[in-house]
Amino acid sequence: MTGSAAVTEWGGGRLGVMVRSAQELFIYWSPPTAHSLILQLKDLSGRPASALLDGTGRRERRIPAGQTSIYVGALLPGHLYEVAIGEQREGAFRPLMEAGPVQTPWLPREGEGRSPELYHRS
Amino acid sequence: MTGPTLMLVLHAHLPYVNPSGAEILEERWLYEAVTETYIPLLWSLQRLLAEGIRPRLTLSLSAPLLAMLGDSALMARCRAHVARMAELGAREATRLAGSDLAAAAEFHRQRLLEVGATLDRSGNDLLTPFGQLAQAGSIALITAAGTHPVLPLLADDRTRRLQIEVALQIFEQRFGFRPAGLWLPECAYAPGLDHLLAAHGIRWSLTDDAAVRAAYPPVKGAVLTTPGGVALFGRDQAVTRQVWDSRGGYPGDPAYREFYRDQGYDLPLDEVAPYLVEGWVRSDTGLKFYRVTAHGPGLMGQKEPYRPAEAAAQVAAHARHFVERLKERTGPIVAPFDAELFGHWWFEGPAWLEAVWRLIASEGEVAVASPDEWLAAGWAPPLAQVPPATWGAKGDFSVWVGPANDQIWPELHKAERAFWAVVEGRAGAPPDSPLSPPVLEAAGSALLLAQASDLPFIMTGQTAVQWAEREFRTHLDRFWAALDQQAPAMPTWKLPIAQAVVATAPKTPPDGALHILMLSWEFPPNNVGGLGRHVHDLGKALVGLGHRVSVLTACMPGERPDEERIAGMRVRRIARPPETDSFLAWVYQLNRSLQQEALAWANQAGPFDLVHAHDWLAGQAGMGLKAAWRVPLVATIHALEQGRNGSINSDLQAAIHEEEIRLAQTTDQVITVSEAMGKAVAWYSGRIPTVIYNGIDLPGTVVAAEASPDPYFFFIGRLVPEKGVQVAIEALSHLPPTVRLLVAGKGPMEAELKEQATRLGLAARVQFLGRVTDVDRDRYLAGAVAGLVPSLYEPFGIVALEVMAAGVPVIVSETGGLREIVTHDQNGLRVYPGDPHSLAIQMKRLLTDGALKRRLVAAANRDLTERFGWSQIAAQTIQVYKRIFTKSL
Repeated sequence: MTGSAAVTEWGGGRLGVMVRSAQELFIYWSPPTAHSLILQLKDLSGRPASALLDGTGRRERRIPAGQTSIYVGALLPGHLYEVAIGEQREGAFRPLMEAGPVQTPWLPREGEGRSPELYHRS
Repeated sequence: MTGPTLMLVLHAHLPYVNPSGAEILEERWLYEAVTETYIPLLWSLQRLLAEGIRPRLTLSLSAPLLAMLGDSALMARCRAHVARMAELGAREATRLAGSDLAAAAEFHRQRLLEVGATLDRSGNDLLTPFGQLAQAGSIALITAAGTHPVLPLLADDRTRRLQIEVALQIFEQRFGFRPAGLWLPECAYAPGLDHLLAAHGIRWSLTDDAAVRAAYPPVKGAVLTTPGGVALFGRDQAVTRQVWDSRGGYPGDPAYREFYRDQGYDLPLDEVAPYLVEGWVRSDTGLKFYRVTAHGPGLMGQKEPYRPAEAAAQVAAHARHFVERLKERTGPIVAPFDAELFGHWWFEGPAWLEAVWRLIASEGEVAVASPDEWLAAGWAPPLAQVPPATWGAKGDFSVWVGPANDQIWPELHKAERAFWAVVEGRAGAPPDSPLSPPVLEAAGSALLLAQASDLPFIMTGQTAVQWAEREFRTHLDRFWAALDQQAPAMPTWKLPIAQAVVATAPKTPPDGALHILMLSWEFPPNNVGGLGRHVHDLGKALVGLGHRVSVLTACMPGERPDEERIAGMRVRRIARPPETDSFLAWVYQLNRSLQQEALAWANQAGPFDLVHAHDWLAGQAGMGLKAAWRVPLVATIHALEQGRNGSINSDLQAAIHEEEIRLAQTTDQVITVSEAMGKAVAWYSGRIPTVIYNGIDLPGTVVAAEASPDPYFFFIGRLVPEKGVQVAIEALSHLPPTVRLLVAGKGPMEAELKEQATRLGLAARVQFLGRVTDVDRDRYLAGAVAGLVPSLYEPFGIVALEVMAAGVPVIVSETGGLREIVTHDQNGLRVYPGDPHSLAIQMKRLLTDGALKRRLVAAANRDLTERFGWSQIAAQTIQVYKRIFTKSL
């Protein structure tokens, strides 16, 4: 876990999860599928999870057919997240691929959003 | 250095641009930076040196910039550009003579001539004078990672290492040495990166101050040491924003030159056309004749003329203000900036720097130092872990991962994986893999160039977006073409990929016996739990299979470091770090010491083929050695923090939990001692462990039993809630009054347990023995009706094997590894965890059923031989090691 991105490849498919901010992940996968998928987010921190996750620290979301990326927000700073894409079969989530964990930054900068305009070389 | 010490770091970097034909707009980025930043900075530093002032500025020169400044053709184009702009400047000075812009125009004309003269004197080579300033002790030079990638956002540690190594090789080739510091592009850091940096000899880097303020354990001050031993200097927001804040900072002063208004846009097109790209693309000329006035939309035309003399006066005032603020501070003040901020954006920036340095030198109240010097002075920043961070607008990764640029990441990660798959000759690699050097260089160079942070950053803006998209596509197309073994279209900048791949590749696995380094925080006789004994017995068995085992561990308090041979192993004990307020900081220090000792030990004991770390307590040392030696790391995770305490309820627990997951993620293979632990580790880390049970040595002799007139049950273990002694005491209350319970062990719950026994009227029937020797343990066990293991949580439960080995029935809770060791009514008895009635029922059975007792003991004996013998466990462990080596071939 050296980075803020984790990628899994399996059978020609790919699932990537990237930390965007303390509250948001960018998740992508390939190839696109002709049917809808389920995206499952798992909080591995062992700590009280975001209210948006269920009692086991999971959140599931249906992904429309053809979509290949998504931003998942309302997460908690400093938590460890793993993502899986899969299908709902016989009432249960069946993962096709899992990627992670990645860790969101903890304690985001005070006064977020009030930082002066960023200078950059270009 | 208890007073204020200014550590100023300028990071000079530009996106790599190398035009092969007609002039393109983007190459002017270099020309502007040369004209407005690099040369004025050089002038200031040279003037100061002539006066004997050495500002100890740390200057980071990124590899792309080194490539461009070292490209004689490109620099010749730069010189020609300066000449053209000087010509335009002369025309403007003539045209504007007598107007209120005359002073500004003349100033620019003169300045461009001086820039041209400097280029001529240096033969268009600016790197040599900067190198001379470094040799004179005026500045310290470092570089930045490779093509300037946001390292944490890459998919693979091998690519991160490649980016680091490439930059160091380029820098070394130019300046003849490797720097101890490395600029992390965008100050982007994530835990674990420190080990990679340290493996390449990097001792320090910089990050944002928010990350340092978020460090755990919390630290005071601006500098800390990561668990991997890299000093991280946090950007001082209070000081630096004075410079980079476009509104409240110095550059917004109305005396200073306006950045946004340029003659390239003001002049009629036909007048300026000869000086524009393709004769019509309006762009900056560097001739900026107005000052920072009339803010707001539509007010560009109302800005007031620039007056160089007034600006110079304000530079002096701002330098005084800055130095006075520094004097109010103590300790290190870390001030990193993009170099191009000075001169290019804040035109007067280099003059201001010069004035600051001159004031500091004349007054002597503020020290200046490079991070190198500061560390060499013996400062030892506290150990702590910092969160993932950047110096982007919100301190996170959102600048580089967002709707404007997220399309690049799937492609980059795919290319990254494909590169390594082919380099390592896997996944359908062509028959002649590994890649031929030209193809490797072409593919690697294109991949690394596509990873530059500039490209996603520019995609978030409004200018040059198409250029960034085109560059990205060009690099990736070249990458795939090269990888497909087509004629490799070599990028214009060929990176030293082949040498860097060799320098970062895993070590060749050994042919025969392995030399294994075991890392453990405890080792007999220093046993806190069962971990030390496990390491001892496993090591001894590995030696028995013909392998070399060296064990690095810590002394008991009060002991002196030593080295001895135990059961064929070399065992070295290092000094135990002094206790600190923070247990985590103590563990980090222990790991730093273990790692440093291991690095030194390898010189004497020979190279190690593999590192095997036991539990997170030795994890950071294991991760560091894996990176340093490029050898596999195996970790046995004996227990998890979440299991030990039932949940994660504190910051310390959370940090330990993260360390456990970090270790599991970094190792080449995780081993757990039970299926139950394996499932827990897989859940939390996503890694699938190999389960290898704990083992036990069968006793060679029959032990004399403790003489007791009354039947008794025996417990041994730490007196902590999860061991369940309280359950055993309550169960005793349901048994006949002649039955006793002997409790061996110490722990924080001892007083509470004694009080419980008294409260239940069992004080005379429960005997607390304190710590007992192995001999006494066996003696007590031999006379017992049964050994009790009533744990509420037990990752494995070695004590159950010890009971079985003593030839005594065992009663265990149905929890964790105990469930896997004991099959109810076959080789022992199982009870519900935390249920005294359940325990009492099984205890009663053994009090009355002699046949059951004999049957259980016989079955347990068979199991010990067939499932839990150390020689078998060692053989399974060797199989794990060999699988890793096979994978890395």
